[in-house]
Amino acid sequence: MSKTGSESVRVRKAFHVVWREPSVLPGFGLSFAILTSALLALVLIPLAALILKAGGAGAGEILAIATSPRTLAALRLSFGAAALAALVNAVFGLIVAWALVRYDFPGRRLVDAAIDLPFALPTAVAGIALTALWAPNGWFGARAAEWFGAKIAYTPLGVAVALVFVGLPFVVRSIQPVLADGARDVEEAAALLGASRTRTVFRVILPNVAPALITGVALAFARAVGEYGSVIFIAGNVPMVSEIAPLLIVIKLEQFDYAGAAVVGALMLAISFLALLAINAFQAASRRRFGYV
Amino acid sequence: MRGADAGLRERPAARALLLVLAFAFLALFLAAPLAIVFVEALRPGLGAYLAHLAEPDARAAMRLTLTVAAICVPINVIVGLAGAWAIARFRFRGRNLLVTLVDLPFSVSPVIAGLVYVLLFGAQGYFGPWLKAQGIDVIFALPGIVLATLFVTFPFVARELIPHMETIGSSEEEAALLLGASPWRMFFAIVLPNVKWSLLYGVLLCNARAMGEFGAVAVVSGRIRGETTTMPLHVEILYNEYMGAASFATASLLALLALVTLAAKAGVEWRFAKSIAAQAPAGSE
Amino acid sequence: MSVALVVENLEKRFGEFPALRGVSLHVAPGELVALLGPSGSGKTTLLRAVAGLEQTEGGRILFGDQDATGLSLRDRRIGFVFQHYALFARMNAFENVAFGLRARPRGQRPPDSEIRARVSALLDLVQLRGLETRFPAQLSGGQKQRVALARALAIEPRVLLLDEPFGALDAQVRRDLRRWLRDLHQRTGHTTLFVTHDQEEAMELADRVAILNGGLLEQVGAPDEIYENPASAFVCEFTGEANRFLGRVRGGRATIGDAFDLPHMRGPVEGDAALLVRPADVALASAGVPGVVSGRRRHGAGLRIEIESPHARGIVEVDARPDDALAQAARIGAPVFLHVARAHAFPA
Repeated sequence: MSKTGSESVRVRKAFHVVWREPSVLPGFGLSFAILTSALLALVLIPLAALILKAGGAGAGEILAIATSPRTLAALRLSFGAAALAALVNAVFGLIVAWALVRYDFPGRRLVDAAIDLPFALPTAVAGIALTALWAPNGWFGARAAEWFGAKIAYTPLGVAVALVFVGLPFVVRSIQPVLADGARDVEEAAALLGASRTRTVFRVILPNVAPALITGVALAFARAVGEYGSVIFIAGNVPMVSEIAPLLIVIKLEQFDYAGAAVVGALMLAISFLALLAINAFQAASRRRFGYV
Repeated sequence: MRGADAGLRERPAARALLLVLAFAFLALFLAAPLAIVFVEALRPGLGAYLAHLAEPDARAAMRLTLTVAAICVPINVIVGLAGAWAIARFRFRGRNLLVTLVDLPFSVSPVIAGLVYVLLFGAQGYFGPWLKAQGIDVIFALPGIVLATLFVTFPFVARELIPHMETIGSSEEEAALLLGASPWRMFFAIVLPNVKWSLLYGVLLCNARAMGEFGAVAVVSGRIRGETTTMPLHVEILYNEYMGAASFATASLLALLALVTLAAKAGVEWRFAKSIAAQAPAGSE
Repeated sequence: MSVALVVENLEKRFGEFPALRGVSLHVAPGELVALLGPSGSGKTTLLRAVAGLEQTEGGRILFGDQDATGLSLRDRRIGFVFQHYALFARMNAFENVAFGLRARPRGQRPPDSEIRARVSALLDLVQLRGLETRFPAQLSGGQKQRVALARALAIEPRVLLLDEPFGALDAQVRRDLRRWLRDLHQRTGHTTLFVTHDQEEAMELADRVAILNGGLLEQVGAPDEIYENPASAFVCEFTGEANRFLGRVRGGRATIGDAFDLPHMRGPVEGDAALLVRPADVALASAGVPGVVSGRRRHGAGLRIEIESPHARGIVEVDARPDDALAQAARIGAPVFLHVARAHAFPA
């Protein structure tokens, strides 16, 4: 081997040690290039443009937009309704997951497949369907008015109803695997140690499920905050009352207020990024402590 | 009378209560919304329903939606396969960051996915004036709709493939290379057949989202009737014009798409579970 | 002597962990060599490095006189049988075996009729005729193993490498397959390297055994040679049972305690030494190394008596016939004496 040859081998090896472990499998360069260029072109550069545009508005204006009563009201609604929906889903998601995993009933597999409906159904379709159901003259809206004197559609409650629909599969799908294979032998151990079923459920099973439940609820919450299509039909979109944050962006865009739209967008991006970080940190901590999520 | 397994099961009353609650909740939030789409669509009768679907604007919306999916799904497959190969098969600096970035579009509001392209390519955007000078329309045109759809569907294929590739491991691929296979032969004969079920799964989800996306597309489309309205946008326009039955007619097609997707997904999951069992490293027999 | 495979001073680290620390090995054409060692000793890394599946930081590998550095996997022509076989799950047995032939570049690819003939011949060789259309999931462990072997042989490899070939099989299949593999090797004569952590398997099957420990080659030799003349205490204890006595070596004579004297000691040790003694080389006697019986149990056809001795590290195990008078007297707690016929001396 010539001297320059061995030199280049050494340089290449040093390069590998620095940033990639050697492998005999081919195609790293090509696949890495496709992935990173697509990611840059489709996601990162566009998001950078958003940050750039928002930053270009200047500190004073950013603060003014971020703290304007209308923005604050929209954010309060988006987060408040998302939190209410997450709470409902935490309770009923647990019940549904329990029924699906632990009980056998006719059509169980069908019901299980249907849980993913909110993932698969286009949001606009969900939006008009929920509105038709919960409007004052709808199947459920009329009953709600008759029995409780409550108005659901075109109020913040309507927003929460839509967000329950959107978040349901996140919660159920997060809990199911843990209920399925996590606690069986532990439950048997608890029963053999003389615990009543109620005690086993609340002291052994639920604590086991808790990390997965929290993860699912957090995912549902994060999705709900940014949700648009299924909400705008049922929300009524009254400024300061039932106007969600994503709609504020659309309205600003329609008024050609690009900077204003960018500021609200960047604000929401920052919030959802923090939520993502929090979920990851929580999962990492849970994995360290319990060995699973 | 208490059976031997009394400590392992709920009492019948508790069991019944849980089942009733679960069914009531699912009926309220899953079954009813699905049912009302078809009830409202068919309320004026089958003839009117078919007439709504045959309208030129409705048909143009279907064509556009199919076009967008036909462009976005193949791109997503290529990027997803490449991304999964790079991430699942190699260890390099920044790999964890890359995994997070691939998932990033999931946690971004669809409205923002549309907004970013308006900021880049809109009339007042960074590249707007230059594009206008070249006579290229991106926003309020097909390219913008495709870009926004690509943004929201970006993670779908890759995130199904990565865990599957990691479970399979690379020894079949190493065996193929040792037996003299070229890289492309290894890819088409070994890798692709091995991941086909998770790939199909990702494609199903990607396709459903591409055809059903609303928020991101709404921002970039401009809603030019017969030109830039996809099916979900068509649903919205008719609904806001108080053409409920027509709106629900198109919506019913999208609901059917969702049902087909769910059925196919369940089928793939079933096959996938079987193939995972077949691919698991052979234990002692 | 011509060589089929040369490994020279091979080095490999995984992060901070040194997997191979300068390993050298020569393998003659047609030889069957076992790489034996505990887990983490580097044996699988060495095998994968020869195959080209691991890139090494130092040293080189030659096939005959051809340097393998920079040789692509396809140009190495290595037959590799993976521990879990790595059969192509989506192809049947026939397609698995035919893969290497069909993967050749167009110019070198045999015609389809010849591929069929060769695959059939290989499946006959591994006794799988009639199972051509089965998929890997429909085969038993032993059958998968043989498909993997036929697949590796199909490319007419220069060297055949097997990673724990019997590791995933149960005991009975293991024994059958071991005998069968030795017969096959005698018939086909491939230069073969196989990894195992089972010393019995290595000693029974291989022409030569290479023993690895902590990334270093401790000893290479024929099974008899390794068993009779272990190069280190590790080799002695890893290749069979051994009792460890503490003694001194001076001028070719070893002493254990004050009394016991062992002439004709081989080895380079002088002074304090660990004296390793196979159970067959130690016996109950009327005089010699003192000890106390701490246990006795059935061991195959005979008895195994456990003895604690101040001159031994750990329990000394002695084999005896049940009708032996000394063995019958050796009840638990009884004082006994041990006679050592032969020992291997290593630095203490």
